[in-house]
Amino acid sequence: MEIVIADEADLSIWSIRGRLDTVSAPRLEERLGKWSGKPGSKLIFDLAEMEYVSSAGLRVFLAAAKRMKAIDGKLGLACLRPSVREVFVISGFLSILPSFDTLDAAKEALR
Amino acid sequence: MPSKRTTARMESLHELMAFITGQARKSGFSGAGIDRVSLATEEALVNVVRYAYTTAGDVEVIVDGSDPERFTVEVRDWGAAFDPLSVAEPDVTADLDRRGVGGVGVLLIRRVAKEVRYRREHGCNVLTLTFSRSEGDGSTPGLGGRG
Repeated sequence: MEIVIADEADLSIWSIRGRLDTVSAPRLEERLGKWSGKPGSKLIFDLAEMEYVSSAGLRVFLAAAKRMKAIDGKLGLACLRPSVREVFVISGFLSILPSFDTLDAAKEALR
Repeated sequence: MPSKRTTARMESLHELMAFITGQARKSGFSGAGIDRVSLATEEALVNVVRYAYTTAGDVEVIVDGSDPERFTVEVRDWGAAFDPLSVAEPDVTADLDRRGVGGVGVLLIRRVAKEVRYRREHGCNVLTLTFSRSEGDGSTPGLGGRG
């Protein structure tokens, strides 16, 4: 799993690449813990290159969403692959985490 | 039947999963089919690593790809008796504030495997996961469209 971060003003785009499983999820959690999300900031997870996610990865996204809500920020998921999307659907997370087909759509919605 | 037994610890997870998905590939699984096998077995193995033992213990996986219709993975541990199927399903309609992640792993196992069975046998927990070949064989996007 690889994390590539791009910041544009108050918007931070985190591209998660590869497999987000029980072994790699703690690295994303740790990285998020160090991230200085200011009140009102916006966070997009670009999942175009995320090949796989298990419950450990879902847990990190849920924690991030709760944190963004606590700081009055906004969170969005973009470009979920079909197999990853299915995991979000089964778990019910797709109905609580806003998701978008394209990165531009996510940016537009969070603006 | 091919099997692999190791100490139940997180460092062994990738080795066990590589063994299982390798066997699934050998018996004709690819793409979304492999994703389903991978997801259900990861969740099952993680439960053993986290909860089966208070000290250390082993986990064993036994795979059976001989049936043309199905691929079966048996996960065995010798820890405290625990039936994952007894875990209550999470409320997947809860809103963000009330939503936790408890039970999601078992829910994923139930949804992506065609069949899940548990038995306690001579001090051993045996969880049997069966995957159908006909669903999500790689030509179909997603995890097979179940649930």
